[in-house]
Amino acid sequence: MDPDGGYSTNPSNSIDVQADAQYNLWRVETAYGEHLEVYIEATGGGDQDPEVASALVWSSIGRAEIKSNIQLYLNDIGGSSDFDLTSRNGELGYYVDLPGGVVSSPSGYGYDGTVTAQFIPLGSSKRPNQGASALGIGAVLGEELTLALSGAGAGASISVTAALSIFAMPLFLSGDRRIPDPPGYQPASLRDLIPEALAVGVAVKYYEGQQIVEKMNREINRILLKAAGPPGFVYKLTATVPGYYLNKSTGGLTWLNAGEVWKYGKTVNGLGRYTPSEMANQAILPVQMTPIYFGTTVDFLVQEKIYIYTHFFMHGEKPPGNSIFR
Amino acid sequence: MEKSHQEIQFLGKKTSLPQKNKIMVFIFAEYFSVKIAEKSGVFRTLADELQEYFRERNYGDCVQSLYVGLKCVEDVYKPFFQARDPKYTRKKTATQGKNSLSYDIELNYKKVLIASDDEIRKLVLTELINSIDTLQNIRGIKDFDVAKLKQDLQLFNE
Repeated sequence: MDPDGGYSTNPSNSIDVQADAQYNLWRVETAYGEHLEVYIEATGGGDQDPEVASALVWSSIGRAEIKSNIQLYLNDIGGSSDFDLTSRNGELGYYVDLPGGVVSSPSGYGYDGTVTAQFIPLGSSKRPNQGASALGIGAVLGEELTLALSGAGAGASISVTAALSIFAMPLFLSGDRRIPDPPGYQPASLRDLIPEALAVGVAVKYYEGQQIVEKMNREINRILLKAAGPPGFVYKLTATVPGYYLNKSTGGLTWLNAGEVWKYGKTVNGLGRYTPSEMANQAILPVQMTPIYFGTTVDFLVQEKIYIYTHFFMHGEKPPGNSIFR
Repeated sequence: MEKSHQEIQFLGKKTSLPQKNKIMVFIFAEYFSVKIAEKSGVFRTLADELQEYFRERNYGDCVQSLYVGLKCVEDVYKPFFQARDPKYTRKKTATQGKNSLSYDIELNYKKVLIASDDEIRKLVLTELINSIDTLQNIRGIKDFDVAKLKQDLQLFNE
């Protein structure tokens, strides 16, 4: 928090924040090897005190290169007058619009359009109301996060149309260790809250989703208790040609188009993980190895979980090459 | 119920394994960073062409499958993708598969990142041709015409 009570970026990071006045486009990029995180705090209010949202941006321990755009849809779940993204008790009530289908909010609200809110730019001394609800978002490793804000500058009423990739989950898991508490609101544990929030949001697509989410959180919490460990990375093995690939869960075959994920895995060995022969034969058809997340042991173990569970939530099944959730 | 039974008929002693097709299997194994993976099409096309090109060629029974690991990753991942020695696997029986040789070549990440498809193709073939010399004198390989393989690759590249 800056001296006048407003928000500021972490001075120790190397985030490059660009605001395009013409298009009101906030582009936030970190230098190579860093995470990027955006924290949005929003408060409810009435006519005298309109909804206020603010954005905090800071980088933490990430190692990501910012690459492609992700979008976040910040939807008004409670109607136009109640801007309540996340209640203070951790009840999650916001949408995540994911590729492959709209996901309902766990609180049961319907889609009511976009939120009309005020945004306080970084560094502004204006403070949002006390008792704010909060939503944390973050860019995934290797992603560029772009917030598109329509409307005029500071203090103006704007319509927020944002989008959040589900893969923002990993960022918060591994990247929020240095997140300062925003003024006026101290969520009990963003670290716990955000991944669950997103996972729950997706999981409601499936009747049995809640149990799977709880399982995921149990497994992740166990990993987080471990020491950081040596560096390694999460990789994905993708189909190189359209065709039937081995399904390790069923022992049968699953059709994959070129580029679709056959397996997520982690390794500290890199090239030694799979020989060229294994790359060609283990899935019946050749697969391609792409490292997608670099981190310590704890980091990449957690990330791997999230990638696999995310795949499950989005497709209803694990990647064909993952016989279990790791 | 009538008991079923099996009849076993002796068909004669098999004196030799069936004649194997003398073809060379050529396969790329791709280890790519995300941005390079987006350019996979050019590698696939080239791999298909090479596979077809080598289909009618043979460089000795010692190497029937040639696996080439293509590495092209960002700096942060390079420590994990250090060069490996060529690995030769000899199969004792036909049912175990083919005698295979696998090795890696590294592509310059920054070059590939900005290269056009044609340039990538040229880059891969150049690296491939240059790498063939490293396949000389590999332990266990007695019958593998490396010079002819290199010559054919050069012809393919022209």
